[in-house]
Amino acid sequence: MSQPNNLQDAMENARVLVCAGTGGVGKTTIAAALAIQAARNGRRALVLTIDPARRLANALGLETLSEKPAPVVLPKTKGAAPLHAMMLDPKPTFDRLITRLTDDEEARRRILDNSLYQHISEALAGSAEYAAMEQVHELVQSNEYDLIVVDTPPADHALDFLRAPGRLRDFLESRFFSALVHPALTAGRFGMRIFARPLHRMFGLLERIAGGGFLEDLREFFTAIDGLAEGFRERAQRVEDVLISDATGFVLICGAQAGSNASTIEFLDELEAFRVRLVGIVVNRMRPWEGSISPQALLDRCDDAALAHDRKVLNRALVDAGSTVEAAPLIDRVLSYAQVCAAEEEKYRGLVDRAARHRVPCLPVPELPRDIEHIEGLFEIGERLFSKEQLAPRSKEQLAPRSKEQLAPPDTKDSR
Amino acid sequence: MSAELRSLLDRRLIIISGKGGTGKTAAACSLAVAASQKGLRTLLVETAPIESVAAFFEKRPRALGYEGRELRPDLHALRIDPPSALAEYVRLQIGLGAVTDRILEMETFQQLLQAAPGWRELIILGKIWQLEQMEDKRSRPLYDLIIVDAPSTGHGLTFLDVPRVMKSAIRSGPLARHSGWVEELIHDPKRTLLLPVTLPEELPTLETQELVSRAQGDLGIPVDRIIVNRMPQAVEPEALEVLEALQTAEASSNGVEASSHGEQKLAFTGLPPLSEMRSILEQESRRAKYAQDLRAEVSARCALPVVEMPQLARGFDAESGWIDSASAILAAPIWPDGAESADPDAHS
Repeated sequence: MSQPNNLQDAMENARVLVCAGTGGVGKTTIAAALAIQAARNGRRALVLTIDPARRLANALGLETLSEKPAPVVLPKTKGAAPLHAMMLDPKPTFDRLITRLTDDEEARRRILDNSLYQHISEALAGSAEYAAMEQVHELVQSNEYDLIVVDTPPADHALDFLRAPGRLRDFLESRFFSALVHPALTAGRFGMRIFARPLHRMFGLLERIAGGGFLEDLREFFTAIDGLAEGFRERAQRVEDVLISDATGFVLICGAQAGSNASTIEFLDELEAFRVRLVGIVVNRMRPWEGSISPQALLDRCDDAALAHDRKVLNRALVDAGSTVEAAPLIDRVLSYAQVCAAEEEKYRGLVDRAARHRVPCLPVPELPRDIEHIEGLFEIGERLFSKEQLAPRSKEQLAPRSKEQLAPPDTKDSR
Repeated sequence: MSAELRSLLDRRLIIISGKGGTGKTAAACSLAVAASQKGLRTLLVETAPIESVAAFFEKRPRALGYEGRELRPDLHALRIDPPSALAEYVRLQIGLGAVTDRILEMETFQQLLQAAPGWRELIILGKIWQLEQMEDKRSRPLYDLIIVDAPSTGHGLTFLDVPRVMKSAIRSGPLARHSGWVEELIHDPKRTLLLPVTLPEELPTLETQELVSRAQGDLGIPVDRIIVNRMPQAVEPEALEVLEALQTAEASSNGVEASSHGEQKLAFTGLPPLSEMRSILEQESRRAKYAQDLRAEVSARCALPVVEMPQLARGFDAESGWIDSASAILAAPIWPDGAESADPDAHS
């Protein structure tokens, strides 16, 4: 029974695990927990984070995270492989890339000093995605790690980082680029005269809006990187190849917080379009519900009549106990908690169904009482994710049977 | 300090910023509703690639689009999508209808746009500038207050820094001049305010500190308070104590004849047993305390007072009744640690 799209399998065999999802869902924490779990199972692992998560760094026993991989000590673990943690810094990555692509010191300086380059690589939005993917590629190449767990940059479009290499490549192959950089066959300023008329008009438009100086700067910059274009193109292609290869698995992290699954569904659709391999959905921070019946069943049971009765009972007990505490606000609080849990559970079930369609597991992670301050907290997440019966955050009666289905995705004849 | 704070409604442009998932849109919608309820002609601007504002107001949300529409009296909402804004801008600059359109549709031009960084941010801000300038027939501003739900991409402030970067990268021509106008609006403390939204959680707290220090530092964008969203209500300690006492009484009477005081299991028909209620309330109490700690931490780190938005059990969809609590966002900001923290120097 082969289950190619399975987080467990990916943990054992993939080279890269990409943790993706919208902001604020705990991607960084899950990424760290996955890397730790892999290291504890004997794979040399690296977690590459984007957030300057100080408490995460502290939890890993590090002062801060930096762009140099730092070794993490795993306490009380026998047979673990080394684990490293690092934070992405897009600027040095970009500079390194330029440095790698050109041997010519002067050409290198021309690029690194060009003001457009500095803006592109540092100040303007969007470059972090490309830099992140570049970094992953470099690390895969280095062969120092068996598994690299990547925490992706926050973005409105969860998959912007996937598009980044392709965008760059498309641009380098575009007519715009070649027209601006290779006017060599022509005479005159930019050789505009012999461009096809529409292109001519377009340059005219850009010049009118952005000023002639801008086009010159642009041309200078493009000319400087033109020598690198081939290398860029190749690398962009190789980065893309890594992302869509079988050696890379994508884990979608969602927050349990009530709210629509729209962005998750959009993300899943996009993943399919990119032909990348989804290996699991993690639903993070589900609130624990320890009730003997499900939160929704409780809410259904608590109709007006039942509540009126219970309020009286509780109020009498409170008065008998000599307390001035009122029953009504306590009851409201309990019910609103049940409401939150019911909404989370509904969302979770929607994701379980969706995961089943993609033939991947949907794994809940319970909310932990505090932020994780010690590495043991991360151990716990990893253990829960991969425990035999996948400890359900809801009572056993409600979710245990479903959890088993989640761990073993429905077996279908053709998984992809 | 807090007494000197201007009302949020006493601005022209409020940019709501923060890490993804903190509830920027919820804060933007709340502020827009609160402002329109006070009679201000309010414009709510969406900038995300996928619209979400209408779903806060309508069960079956219809798209707002670039022109937008009235969601409530005095509350106009629209979404600025960069391609539409760019087309509008280019037409305004060049003025040639059909030819300009053809250029805009050129594959080569599209390729350039795909690869070029920054223009989306710039054109969104440019459109906001234009909306701020708009006047009605009597030459009054068309909108009293413009609220922008800023993109959450990367570090939120990159968005606001683009005009400056563009101006220095381009140097001359209309685009550089217009970038200058936009920059001026963003940095005008009379008109503009950056309103960070955060959650009582670790990473949002750190990122908010970074955002505020950058805004007040090299960017020079006014910030005067922080919205802390999804604040859980505290649980009275007395409530936990008395539940424990009741539960102990229950346990001791278990299997024993009911005492003369009639202590026995409380006969609830709907509610869960006392033990479960107690464990829920204890959890909620821990959450609330932790949230209080982080709220105090973000306030101290940023040396700014905070405004709380409550945790809503049913979230912010069209039917959850959030509009009733929308005005919470206009509440006077407070220093969570009480009076001794009111001195901003105490936090630095």
